[in-house]
Amino acid sequence: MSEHPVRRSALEAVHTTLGARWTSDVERWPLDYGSVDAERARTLGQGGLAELGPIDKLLVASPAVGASLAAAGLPFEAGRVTEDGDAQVWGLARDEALVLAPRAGDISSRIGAGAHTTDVSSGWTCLRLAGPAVPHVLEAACAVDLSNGAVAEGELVQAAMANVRVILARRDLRVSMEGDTRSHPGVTLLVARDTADYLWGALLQLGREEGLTTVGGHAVGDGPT
Amino acid sequence: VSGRRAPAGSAEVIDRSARLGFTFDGRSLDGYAGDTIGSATAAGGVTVVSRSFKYHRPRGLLCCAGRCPNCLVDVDGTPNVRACTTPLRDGMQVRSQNARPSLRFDLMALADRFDRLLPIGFYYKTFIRPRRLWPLYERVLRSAAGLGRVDPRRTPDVHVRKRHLYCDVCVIGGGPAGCLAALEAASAGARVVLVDDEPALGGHLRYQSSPSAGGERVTAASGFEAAARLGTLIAAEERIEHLASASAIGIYEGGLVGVSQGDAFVRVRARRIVVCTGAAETPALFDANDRPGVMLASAILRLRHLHGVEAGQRAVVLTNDDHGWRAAAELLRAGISVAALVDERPRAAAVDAPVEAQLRAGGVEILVATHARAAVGRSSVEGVRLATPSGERTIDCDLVAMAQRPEPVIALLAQAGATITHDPVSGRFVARHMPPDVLAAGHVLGRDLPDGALTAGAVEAGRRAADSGDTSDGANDDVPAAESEYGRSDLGSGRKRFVCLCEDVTVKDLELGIAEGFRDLETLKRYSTVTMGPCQGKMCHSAAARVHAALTGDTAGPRLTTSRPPWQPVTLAALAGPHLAPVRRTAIHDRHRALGATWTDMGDWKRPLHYGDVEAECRAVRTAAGIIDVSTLGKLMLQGPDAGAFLDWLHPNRFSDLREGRVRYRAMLDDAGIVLDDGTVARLSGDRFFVSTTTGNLDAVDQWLRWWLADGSRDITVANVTSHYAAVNLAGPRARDVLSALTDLDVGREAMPYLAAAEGAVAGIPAILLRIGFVGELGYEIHVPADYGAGLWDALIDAGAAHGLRPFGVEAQRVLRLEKQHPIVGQDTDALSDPIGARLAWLVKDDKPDFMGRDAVGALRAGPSDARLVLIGFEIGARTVPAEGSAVVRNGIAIGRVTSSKWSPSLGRTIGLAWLAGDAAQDGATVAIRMGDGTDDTVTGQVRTRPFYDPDGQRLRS
Repeated sequence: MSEHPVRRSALEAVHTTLGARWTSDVERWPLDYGSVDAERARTLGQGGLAELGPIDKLLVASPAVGASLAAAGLPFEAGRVTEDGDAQVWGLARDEALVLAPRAGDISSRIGAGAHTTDVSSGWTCLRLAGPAVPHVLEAACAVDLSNGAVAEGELVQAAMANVRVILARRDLRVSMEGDTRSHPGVTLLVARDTADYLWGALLQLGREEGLTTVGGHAVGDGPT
Repeated sequence: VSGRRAPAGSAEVIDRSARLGFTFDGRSLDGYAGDTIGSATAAGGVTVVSRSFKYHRPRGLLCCAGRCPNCLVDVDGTPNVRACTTPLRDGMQVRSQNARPSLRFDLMALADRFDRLLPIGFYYKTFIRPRRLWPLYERVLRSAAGLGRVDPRRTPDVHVRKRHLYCDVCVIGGGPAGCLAALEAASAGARVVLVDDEPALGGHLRYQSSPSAGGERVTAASGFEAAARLGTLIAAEERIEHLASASAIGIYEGGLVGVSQGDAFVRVRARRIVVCTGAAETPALFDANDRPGVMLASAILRLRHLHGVEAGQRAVVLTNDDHGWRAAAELLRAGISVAALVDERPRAAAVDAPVEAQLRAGGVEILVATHARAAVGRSSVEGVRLATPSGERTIDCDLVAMAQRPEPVIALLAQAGATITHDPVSGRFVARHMPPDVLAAGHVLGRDLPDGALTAGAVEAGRRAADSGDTSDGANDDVPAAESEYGRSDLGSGRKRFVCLCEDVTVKDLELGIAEGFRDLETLKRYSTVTMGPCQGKMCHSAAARVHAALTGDTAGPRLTTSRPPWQPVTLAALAGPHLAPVRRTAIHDRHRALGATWTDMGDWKRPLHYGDVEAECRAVRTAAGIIDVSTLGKLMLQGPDAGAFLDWLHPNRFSDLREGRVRYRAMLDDAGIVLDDGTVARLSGDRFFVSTTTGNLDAVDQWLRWWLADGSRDITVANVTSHYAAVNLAGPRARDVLSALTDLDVGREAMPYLAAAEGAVAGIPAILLRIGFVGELGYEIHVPADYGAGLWDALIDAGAAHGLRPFGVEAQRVLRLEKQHPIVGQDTDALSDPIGARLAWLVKDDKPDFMGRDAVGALRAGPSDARLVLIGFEIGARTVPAEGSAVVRNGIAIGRVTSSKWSPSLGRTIGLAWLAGDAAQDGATVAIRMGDGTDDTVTGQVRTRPFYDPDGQRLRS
């Protein structure tokens, strides 16, 4: 019996082919594919697609989900992403939230009474799209208006993207360079693990003309999303 | 006519320093960057571009705007490409269509000589006798009909794209009205998408050398300048997205505009739509009005000003409107000699004096009250015969410029719901009673207004589109009631006076159709196919309506047929978009691939069908151990104090009394008592239930549960955890040995008996274990977080190596479950299957106060059993496997059907499941089963009502 079973990304085979440098021996998510600087430059110049992880995900449901999360010290706002430290709360509905954190086990124990929690860490793959190609890719992949005028920074949209369901958060990529804080288009996507490989390929296909390429998580931001 | 390059002009879009080579029917030609195929062929002296659809008459460029059928060609193997709008590329191979053996000498042109034998509907009349010859007729007709050839061996290099754009205002049309409306809307803060089918903005101004007027933005010394200025203003406005060379193909509900742009299809969703599609010239009616060299005046100007090509040397201009006078003056300024201006009107009182003076100064003979009778010439125009007040006369020319009164391009407005009526004052079809949130501006309104009024109207439309006020203003509501303006004498009687160039429909044809009883325009259209060709009425819609009204004497005046999308042709590939068919892969997918799995698709899922040897896989499960990836099973986690009672209500059996750590079979019914789904329910702890569904029914079951929870009266949460859990079924007499090596849990018979559930670590991975088995052996269904799915699989393979464990696929699973007569909901049941017929009556607990489908099941039980279909097993001694879906017959009459059938290697016979009439479903009864191979052959089988393998379930419980 293994003491430390290996936790694997849904896209492990893809990352292996690309020469990923892994998060750790027992967590096979890509930090980068050899050069963070080059990947960051490609992201800012054309566009980058990355998988983020490993990230635990905890589904919290309750008519008073805000109060339940508050007991754990977490903010909640329906339809938006809120943050506390390295934890994010995706307000899926008035009575439902998804908590994303590097380790959600301790959060679960702090959730207030009356809420039902379900560990869905493996159920969702977290992808990140950033760079100038993002608006074009979103226009091509999704029938919902995801433009800046329609979806504000931090807002959530649940929609079909390339014909699979995703939960999308608009999270622009902010880059600080010599005191100049620039913002680049960016979204974070949660997609069912079993369609992650398909969506990964579909987004790259749709973004090919705009120069979208695969990058490691470090190239698209430092936080989990 | 011999087209040629003219000296460079200020408006031309070609780059004379960049030569491009191409071939047309094998002949080497060249053009310039910026040319279209049409302009380059015209510059190369090509006058005949195609042959017509029915009579194979020679046809040349007509509209140069992508509106007519005359220039359809094959480009590099792609048929029906419009030469006049397709940019020229170096190395293009362009071929003419619909001509045999060649464009110049087309044998099928004999049809033109024998046209009296080919009236409209001739194929309905001619090819009905003798009936036995129809296959021959069909072959000949199919060979002769159609435009262009598709090479089925060729895989086109298509990269289609799809875009979804949202905006406040979508402006359709990039002429001056469209540009002004877009600019005004954008300046009011609206996000605007401007759709224009031309490569550059400006509409007719792009080929107008005369001054442009109508406000600051469009007033310039020439139309060219005004067009360029509008283009610059639009490009500078960041709120406007300009879709160039893009055709709006339809306006649909909810402000949806379908736009075809090259290889892309764009779905534009707009809060408001402004239609500025302008007005366009259409052909005049006279004999041989399709001769190469008979062109729209606007086409001649496009070629000259944009591409530097002179379509001819000496033109006669035909008109019935002031527009023709201005067009003639434009031709003069373009350096084209105009022999005469022929106006049908008795005296053009409205024509402004300066224009008339220009024409007379240019030596143009002006003929009023004069009609064109016929074009003279065979393969190209050599003159035009006229009926003047003083008699017939012929004027020599190599170009006939048709500058009839421009028709408003109202098709999109009609699609959107505007009312279309004929305005006897202006002689045009006009749109009025605009639908909500749709506005129109510019020449599409069909009003003879000064330039200033037109541009002011466009600005006003843009402003109103951008604000939130009511858009229904009764635009054009003052159009008077229509009266037929055409007298019978206007139509002439020539047999080659073409109304519809696409389908070669003449005035004579329409006359014949009406005489045969097709008096209604809609039926006449379908009988004659007028307006049904590639141009979809752009050239002939109004002419057909007018001719119909005149021939029928319809006092209500001309009416148009229904306008439907697509307004412009769009490829099926563009509509379909890129190939985006979702594929679902389990967490163990890569392991299956490494094992050489043969895949099967189950919905979106990829599942291993087998690993090369189905019999060995079956044998391993029956004699040692096997593992199968069952991650695709639906999985729902129900939590809450009301969960048990809710499951009770949803199912015919009971779950509220299920003890912690136990599993129970479930079959879900709808309110008609039909079996929706089956699976298991495990009570993991307290109010926490782990529910599995069939692979295909997960979404339906999930929605079904949420539907019944929508009122919020129950304290339950449903979480779909299908993707979170990978699952492996470990089965076989050695399964316990394999599992014991990987867990500290006691998985023995006493601690974990059949239908037990437990949570614990397997190979160090947190897992849910269910002691169940679909294949009839000692089995464990192991669910782990999918991130660890591959790790679990690896551990089981390693631990099972010493016990003869093999992975098995869906095919082996199907055989093994069939040996147990375990049905698959969806395969062995359908939308009429009830639990009584499906032999699930044991599930139904009548002592429950209520459950979904209770009344229906009660009624079923009270009904006669002989008439009811029953799901039974059957076996056939020989290795003869009837197809699934085959009929079970008695005296040739179907009394049932096979739902599953397989060869069982361990039993040495064919086994299966079938629905069978109750009176024939006794154990041991003989039945005849059709083979389902397209013949009436049957095979004899015996009914078996108990499992073929381990009928008492001892192995399952071991």
